[in-house]
Amino acid sequence: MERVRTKQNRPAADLSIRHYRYRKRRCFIIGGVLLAAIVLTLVAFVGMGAMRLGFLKTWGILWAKLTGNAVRLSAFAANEAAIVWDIRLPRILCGILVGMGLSVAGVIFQSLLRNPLADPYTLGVSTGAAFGASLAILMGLAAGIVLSTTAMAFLFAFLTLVLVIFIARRGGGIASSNLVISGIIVSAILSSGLSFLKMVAGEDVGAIVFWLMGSLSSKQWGDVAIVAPVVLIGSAVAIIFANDLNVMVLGEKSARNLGVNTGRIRMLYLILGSCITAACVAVSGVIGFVGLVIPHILRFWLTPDNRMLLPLSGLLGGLLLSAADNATRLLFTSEIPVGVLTTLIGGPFFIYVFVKRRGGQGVF
Amino acid sequence: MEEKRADLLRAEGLSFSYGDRRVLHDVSFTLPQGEYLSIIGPNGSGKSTLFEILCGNARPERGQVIYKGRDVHTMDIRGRARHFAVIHQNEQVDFPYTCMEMVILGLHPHRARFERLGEEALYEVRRIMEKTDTLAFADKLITQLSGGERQRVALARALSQRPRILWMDEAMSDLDVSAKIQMIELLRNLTKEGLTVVGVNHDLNTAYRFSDRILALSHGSLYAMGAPDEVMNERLFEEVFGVRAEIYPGKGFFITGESVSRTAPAVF
Repeated sequence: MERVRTKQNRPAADLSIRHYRYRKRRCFIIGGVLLAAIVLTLVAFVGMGAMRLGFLKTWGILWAKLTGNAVRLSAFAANEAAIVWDIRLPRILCGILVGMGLSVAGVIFQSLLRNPLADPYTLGVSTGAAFGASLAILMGLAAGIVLSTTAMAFLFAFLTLVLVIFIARRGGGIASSNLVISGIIVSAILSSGLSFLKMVAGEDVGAIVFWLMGSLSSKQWGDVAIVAPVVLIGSAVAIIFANDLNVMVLGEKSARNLGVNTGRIRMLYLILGSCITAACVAVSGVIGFVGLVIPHILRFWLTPDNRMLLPLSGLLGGLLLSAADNATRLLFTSEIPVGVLTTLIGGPFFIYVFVKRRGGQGVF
Repeated sequence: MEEKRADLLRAEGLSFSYGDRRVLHDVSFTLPQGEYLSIIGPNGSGKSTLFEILCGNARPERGQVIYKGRDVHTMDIRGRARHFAVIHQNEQVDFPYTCMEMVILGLHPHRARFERLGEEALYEVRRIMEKTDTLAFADKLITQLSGGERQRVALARALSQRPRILWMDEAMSDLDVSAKIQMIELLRNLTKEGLTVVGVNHDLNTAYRFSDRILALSHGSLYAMGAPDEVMNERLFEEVFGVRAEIYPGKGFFITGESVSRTAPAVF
């Protein structure tokens, strides 16, 4: 095999290869910028609120807490430290992690179902979680049985996934179309179940409705402890196998012929995507559009390569959801649920992207 | 075909049925290295089933496919992908990969996780793209290409898999005449370098003109196999395709009309 690089074939070579490298490098740079932005906005947001703290002061408290330096911590007022560490930080971390999780799950489902318009809720996992949470709320109100909303949401999300896979299997295998159809069926049944629960709740329906709208207010360290491991470990595993996911986009047959064990990879990503979605929904309720819009935009703007797209979407999703959540917290006198805000902004924006896109060209 | 070339692939007694319907019945043949083989037959003759079984995508009910002494259906998927590359008829991808990124996906079975693509690998990809005449749109998105261009990118991707056998399932049906001839010329050159090509082909004229051998299927059975001039005669057109044809040896043929009597299905 000759590989002579003469002067004549060099310039053209450099062009296409340079373009390939440029697309890669651009992702790394934007990733770095996003990471820096997350850290900076995190500190800034922690300092904002009814009690205003300067950036450096906030940073000082966070740093002292992180390093466990009691001497340095004692330099700050105890109530300031408590507000930063116990009240604001967990909520903001939850926002970042949920945004991250929903976006990563969005990338996973879009690639897995070979549909750039799929989202984490396509298979009905969120409806399952909503049903579980509503059941827990109702039991607490009606029967006085205290169940953890989060645990019930997670449990039902997982049961929904198992049911969806089971039905798809019986209906001829877990190919994309079967999964989507089976997801639609299960989610339709669960939503009417949900309506039934709301009816039974009667006057107490408010608690359920508020949960369903999706909110990050009054999140605590316990919530971070639920969502952080699932989102971070899940995303890491997703990135490790991202090469295979890239090939899955070509379709079942082509992926097999390129050496991917499609059955195993499909199952792995189904479980990853669903667990991440379940953890996010369990903690925050149903927050719409993040998992659809962010992967979609980044894919058409930067790259469809999942090795890059997964971390980039995670970062942008985390940044934007936490920004949106802090906007609801800081700008409005009575807090509106962040799920409402994301859909209000995300919906029209997505219409714009979708209309402009026209067959893979256009803005993104 | 006097010199005896080493057999690369051997099909032994392949049979397959969907429920009660037999679609493939006891098909056996051998495939030497460097050959261009076309599989022909009317719709429903079992071409696609045979193709899928041969390249390892489907298991036969009976019989086996032996590649270099190994059963194709027990080889591990990744290992097989290092030897076989398959191009399907128009594969639909809605994700904005550039053509070069698409071709690079062909390296997948040879790449370790997180392996960075070196200079050499990228130049190899570029060389393949030059050869398949896809370099001009290397930076374009796959979603923006015409069907024919996309098919050439699929060929480039298959070649970057460094296959020993290239399987083509109607892979050239979207190409216009000149693109098709160009692609066939390219494949012919590659067979001289040792690549073996097996194609399911609906275009009987190109199959006749450019194949080393033809495998004709009729009602799931091997009707005939051999050099195009031996296999494709008036009788074959009559009995297999149910049409009358005028043959111009070495050049091609015209279909002149429907056959008077189409043979009854072969008896199993």
